[in-house]
Amino acid sequence: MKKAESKNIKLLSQDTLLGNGNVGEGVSLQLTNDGRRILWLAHESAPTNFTGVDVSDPRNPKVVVQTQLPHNTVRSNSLDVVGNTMAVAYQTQTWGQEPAGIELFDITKPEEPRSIGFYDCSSPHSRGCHQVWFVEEGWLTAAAPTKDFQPKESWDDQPFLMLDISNPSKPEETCFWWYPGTRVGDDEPAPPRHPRFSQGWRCHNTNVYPERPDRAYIGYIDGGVMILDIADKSAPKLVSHWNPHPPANGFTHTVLPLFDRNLIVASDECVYDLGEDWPKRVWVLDAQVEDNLVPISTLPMPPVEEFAPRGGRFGAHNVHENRPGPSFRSDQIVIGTYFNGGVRVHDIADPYEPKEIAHYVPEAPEGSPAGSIQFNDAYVDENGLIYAVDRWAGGLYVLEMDI
Amino acid sequence: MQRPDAPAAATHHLIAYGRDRVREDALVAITEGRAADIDLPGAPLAAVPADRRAPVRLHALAHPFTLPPAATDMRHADQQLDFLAGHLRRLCGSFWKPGLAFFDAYFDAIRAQITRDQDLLAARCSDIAGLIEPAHWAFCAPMPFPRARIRPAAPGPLSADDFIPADLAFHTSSGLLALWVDSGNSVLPAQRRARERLSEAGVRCRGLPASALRSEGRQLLALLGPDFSDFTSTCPLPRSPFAPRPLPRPAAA
Repeated sequence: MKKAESKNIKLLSQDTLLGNGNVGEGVSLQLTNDGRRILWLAHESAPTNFTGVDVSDPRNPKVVVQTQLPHNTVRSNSLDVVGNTMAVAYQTQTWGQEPAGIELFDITKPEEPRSIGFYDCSSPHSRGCHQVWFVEEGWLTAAAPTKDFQPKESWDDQPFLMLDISNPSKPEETCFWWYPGTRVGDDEPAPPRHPRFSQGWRCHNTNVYPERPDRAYIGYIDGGVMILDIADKSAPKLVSHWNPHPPANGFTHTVLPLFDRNLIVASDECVYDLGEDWPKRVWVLDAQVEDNLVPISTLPMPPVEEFAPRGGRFGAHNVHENRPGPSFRSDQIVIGTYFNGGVRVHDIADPYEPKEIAHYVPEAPEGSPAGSIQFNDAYVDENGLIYAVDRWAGGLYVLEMDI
Repeated sequence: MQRPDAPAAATHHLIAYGRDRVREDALVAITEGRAADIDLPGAPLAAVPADRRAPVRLHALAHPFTLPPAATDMRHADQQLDFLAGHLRRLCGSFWKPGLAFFDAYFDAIRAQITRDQDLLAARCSDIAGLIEPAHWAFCAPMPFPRARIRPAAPGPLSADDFIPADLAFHTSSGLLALWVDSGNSVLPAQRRARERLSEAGVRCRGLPASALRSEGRQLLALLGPDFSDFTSTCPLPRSPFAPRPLPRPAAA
């Protein structure tokens, strides 16, 4: 078995989460009223819904709660926490299944999450919600349709949705936008499909930052990077669109604006094993002119020849998103997950010439069918500790940077 | 060939600025004693004697302008100041908005102070009235070195790795000042250790709240301290960095 590889990062602890070590793309940290630090994790697939882990002692994490999904054809995948409220995304395997939507929980007592609301977006044309972005009380955004949304192409089924959740028992739609041409009834033609790796024109991450409440920064899968003007919630407008696919291989995932630097960091997610959809990059975009984004570099990655054969996916996925709350924030350091490429840390002080300054690639988790680590997501807390999660079996890895 | 006035790493604080990297050729020039005191045109890298007590003012440097001043109408001090402010803004690069905001606020503050004290300043240079304008006093303000990399004076070999980044650096009558504009970034362990090394070397380290850059000009100077808010009173006479300079002394054969 290949040994762990590291540079300027050390492993503090690992927890396989009671044998359910398959974690998705939802990692968020709660500071509880009684002074504990609870890390909430959404799982990649059923039967586990979400897990709460006490990471007050990062060297000794303890699972405090783990919940189950109602059946095996729904996944939670994404969650976010603000204060003592948690939003969880539910996406079904196929169209027309339930539950499909967003559930809100009161997690004041982490051991006893209590459902306090549900936004139902199930329909014959819906798989529900893939991602939630919840960083301030009262509202959230999501990659999800409304109940009456019918896409022209079935995979274009998760537009941009904003909900008012000030009354969690009755979430209300406040802003809804889809790429013109993707909805039945649109005059515009449906956008072209990717010639090799078609995955739809739909949202992945839907980030709205308190610094710019009038902008949504969206990874639109095969549609690339999109910036919406949402100042008028009833009439959102596309103000910027940059799409490298093709020739790039699709699946724009995260769009991270670095406001003080006029830069955007955008990741494409690798979704095929053994390097089939290589390269999946993290792009650095010059955003001095918002409506004319210009790629100026990509973050360096290790050689595909060496990593692709290790098994599973190899390439970019999530980057830490500088969210408010107990979260690491930097406009120079980009921390991302690269599946079997592990966690990698890049310094973009010179955005024309990003440098990798740290990485951690653990050995393959026991029981993983991939045969390699498959780091799916990472959250970095305000102290610089990285909470990275494996997609299949390894669960949670708590890492400490020395950079 | 060694110059008698060349700075040395043991006796001079070195401030590289306006670039993401320290130029190796400048370090070689210093190591070989080929660099001129107090600055190295074209580097840009300032060498400040460690025992210097006077501030390094805007007028003290032979700024490595990327645009020739001769291409612009520079007859009046206001135009010269605009040109210098534009030059320093360009050294912030394209991707540092707080740096640009700092220079806007800093030069606004300087202009406001000169306007406020115009009569007093005119009186102070009445003996040479006609040669200088009150606006020339602006060049007495401390020189901000943007995107600074600081290497406090110390014996030993000179390496680019020894230079510690700061958003801005100044040399005032109280010595070196390293400044970071607060942009909400988490401080990394290596940054914390580097700032501690600067402090141990006697460099004052401080943060500047981003809100200070949004306030009216004079508040910024007051916040930075008396070396800034009283910059004209400590300068006997103003001069322009664009004034004719003596021909450089030839290096000894």
